[in-house]
Amino acid sequence: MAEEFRAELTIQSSIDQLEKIRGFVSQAAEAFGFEECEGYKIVMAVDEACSNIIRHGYGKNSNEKLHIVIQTTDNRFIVTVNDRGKCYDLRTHPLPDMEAYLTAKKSGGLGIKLIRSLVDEIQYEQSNGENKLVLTKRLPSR
Amino acid sequence: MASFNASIRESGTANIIDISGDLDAHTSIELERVIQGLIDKGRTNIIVNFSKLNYISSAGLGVFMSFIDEVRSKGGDIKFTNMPNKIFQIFDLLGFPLLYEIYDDEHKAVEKFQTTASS
Repeated sequence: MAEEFRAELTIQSSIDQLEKIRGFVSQAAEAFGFEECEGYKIVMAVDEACSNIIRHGYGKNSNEKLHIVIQTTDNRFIVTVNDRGKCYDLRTHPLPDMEAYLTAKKSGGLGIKLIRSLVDEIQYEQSNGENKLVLTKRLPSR
Repeated sequence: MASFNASIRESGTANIIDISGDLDAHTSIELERVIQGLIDKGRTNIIVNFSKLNYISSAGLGVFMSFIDEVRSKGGDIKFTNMPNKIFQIFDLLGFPLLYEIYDDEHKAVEKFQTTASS
């Protein structure tokens, strides 16, 4: 069984902080037991979510904060991202038809599709001006 | 600045961009600048070698999407090589292999440009 742990990180809402977030998640994912390709998926999902919060939720205002918590239980790797920007439930976001997207050679708008494809569960709630996004990825059964 | 670097080599008719580090929402502007520079010089046979790339985000993917029409309209192409599995799985998930040629080996991409030029 994977080791259980909890870790937290608070960062400024600036895109130059994304590398720090990825390092934080990547290290925990590796310690949890994800192999490289699976670990990459949860790192990317968190990176895309935080990038959206910084660019859209906070409108690129770098004076705000994001608080990230990683918890593990049994085979579940759970990342919670808290922010106080504009609320947005990415579970309701319409996803692009990739065939049409590629034919039209569009660019942009793939972040939410990736998040929803790369994790097993997404929860979102908003209360008292605080957004809480929870991304869960399970360790593949062996 | 997150660690990202893009440098250019020439091989035959191809211009090879070696990318390394993390290509994310913060660093993707650097790759845009490099590709735009090649296009401005009429060098549209572009190969991107991913062997030293650690990470790519949707912003990085968007750079290739934003240039592909222009490059192809000028008779060139953007081909990818030496992609680590962790990055290829993302390209594959999105269906990018339908739009881009992806080679295990850089030489095969160079040869493809030579073949295209001589046909």
